[in-house]
Amino acid sequence: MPALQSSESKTFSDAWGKESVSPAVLTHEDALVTSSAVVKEYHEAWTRLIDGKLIEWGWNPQVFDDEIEAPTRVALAQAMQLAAWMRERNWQLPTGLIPDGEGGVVFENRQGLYYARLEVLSDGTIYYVAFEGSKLTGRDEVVIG
Amino acid sequence: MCSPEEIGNDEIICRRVSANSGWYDPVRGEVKPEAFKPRVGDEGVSVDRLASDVHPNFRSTKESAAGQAGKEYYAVCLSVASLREHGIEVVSQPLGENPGHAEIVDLTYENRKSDSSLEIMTFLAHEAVLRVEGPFLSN
Repeated sequence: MPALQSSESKTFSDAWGKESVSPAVLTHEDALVTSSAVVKEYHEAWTRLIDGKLIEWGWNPQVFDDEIEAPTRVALAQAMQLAAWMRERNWQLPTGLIPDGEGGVVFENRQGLYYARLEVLSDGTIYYVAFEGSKLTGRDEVVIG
Repeated sequence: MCSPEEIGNDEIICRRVSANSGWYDPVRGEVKPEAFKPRVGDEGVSVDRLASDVHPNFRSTKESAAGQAGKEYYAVCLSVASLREHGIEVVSQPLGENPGHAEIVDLTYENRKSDSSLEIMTFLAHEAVLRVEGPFLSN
């Protein structure tokens, strides 16, 4: 299965975290309805992120003040591709989606002491950066394989 | 009583953050490391020492948050003592109209992508923030 991987073939499928989009114990009929509703809500949440932020930033870069360089078209296109890729593989929704101030975009996942970032730079390069507390534990350039 | 140039451990400093940047999430109550990212040419990250009984001429949080007219900004407040405990220094750099201006000199534009700088920015955002005030609309 295609993975997000570094040049050293490290993969990050489990590091970011997966969303549980299936209920634990339900009858067959309930499972079908609830599972379908949960999946729908999950996909809609991703759509809100993509439409509400990434596409909006492309249309209205002037929302940012002069000190922030709006995300480039290259970065936004790569970020949208990454978001779609993460959604299709049930990766946890980011807890944050922000501009990096230099033309790039950052997906954040912050859960307690664990903090991970997928940084899409202005030229479309992607880095996976992980922290425990404020201690950097890894930084790898990754590609969508 | 210390001279204005010596920043006391009991002082509070303030970093201005644009509301539209998303670098402060008021729903989750989270400041992002980008809020402390040096900009082109920076030799330190600018902050303001807040007004106090000792320094009544320094800026208030609202004054510190003033930016581009028509846009909103938050004032992210940190304790100097907390930074120093973590080995991060704040240096007074008074400006003509802003005598309380200071800089976090460990963060520069040149070193902004180093492991150390990433850790400092993440520490400041995730562990050192005392409070966030605003948003304030700039005139």
